[in-house]
Amino acid sequence: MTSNRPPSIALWLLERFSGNDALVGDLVEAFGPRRSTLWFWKQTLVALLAAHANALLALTGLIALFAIGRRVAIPGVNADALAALAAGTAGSFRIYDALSGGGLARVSVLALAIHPYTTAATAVEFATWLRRLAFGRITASKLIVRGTRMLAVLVAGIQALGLTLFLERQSQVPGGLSLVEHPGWTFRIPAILVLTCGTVFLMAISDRLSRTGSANGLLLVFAAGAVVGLTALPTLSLGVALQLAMNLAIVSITARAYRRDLCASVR
Amino acid sequence: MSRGEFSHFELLVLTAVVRLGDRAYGVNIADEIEAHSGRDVIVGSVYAALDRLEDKGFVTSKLADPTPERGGRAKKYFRVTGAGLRHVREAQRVLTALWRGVPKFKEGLT
Repeated sequence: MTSNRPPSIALWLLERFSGNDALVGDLVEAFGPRRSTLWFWKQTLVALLAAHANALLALTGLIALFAIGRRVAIPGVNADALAALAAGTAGSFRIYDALSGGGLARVSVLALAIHPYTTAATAVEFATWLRRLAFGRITASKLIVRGTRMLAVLVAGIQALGLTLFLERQSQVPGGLSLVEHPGWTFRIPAILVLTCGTVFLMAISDRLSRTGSANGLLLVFAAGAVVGLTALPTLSLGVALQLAMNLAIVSITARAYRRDLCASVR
Repeated sequence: MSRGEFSHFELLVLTAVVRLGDRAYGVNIADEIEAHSGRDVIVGSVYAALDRLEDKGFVTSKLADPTPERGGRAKKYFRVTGAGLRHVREAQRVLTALWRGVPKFKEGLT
């Protein structure tokens, strides 16, 4: 079955995701009486796979990393008490837990996931956009990247402190178990350091992927966390799905703008 | 694989670029390989190989003017470089030298 026009959905996919205008032109030109629709689809799917092979490989590796990382709890937390507490939680906690690859409920080393970085990137990109709109001034990419990283570490530290304080104050754990074995700064300082380092580690991976590969590191790390987190959920409600989709949309906009600045900052 | 080496498919692509001369672009290269190997060639794989060859300095690329039959998209032409040509010749020399020993090997098998 042949026609003069290539299949529109395949063409749209190619234009949107192949990132290679010359390839799209070649396939459109070559598609004629002697090429079938099936040929065009085959060319499209393999081209997309070839273009995003590195991203798919990286995503697989990141999913494995989250799957392992979520099982490594920070020091000083009673695992049995934590499991009992997590089982009784619901609502927004579940959503944040899903977004952190299921690491929040287990207070794992990756509990904060990449969120401090996405939060910082969103804030800095939004602020620079407002600055450009109000004063017509463009902020240097190096400054944006440096500012985002510093803010991300600060946000990670604050979130880690908040989490440790939250854990210490939990008095409603079923069975009367104590969540933190030795509350106080001897628990908080190492816990904050471990949690912040977990996020910094993910930030380094994200930046490396963005700079060297054809993938958006920030988006990939976020997506990998969400995939692992979703598999840890007992059920997926409409509310959770909607909030996840909204978060993904915000992160994808931020990640695109931030990647541009990240790549420009090393030129 | 080190920077100076290339895969079998990259060698096919590079040889097709040499054969086509000024007419070497994605679909043409795929057609050339298809005609001589008798197997289906994916244009996306040809571009992936060309990207790697360009990174290694074996080919260069140049965009032509956009044309209506391509939906207003430019054609990307590829040319082999001096280093690329040397590598093709070297591959030919090695394969030819190796091939000389094959009949004896075949006799041993039959």
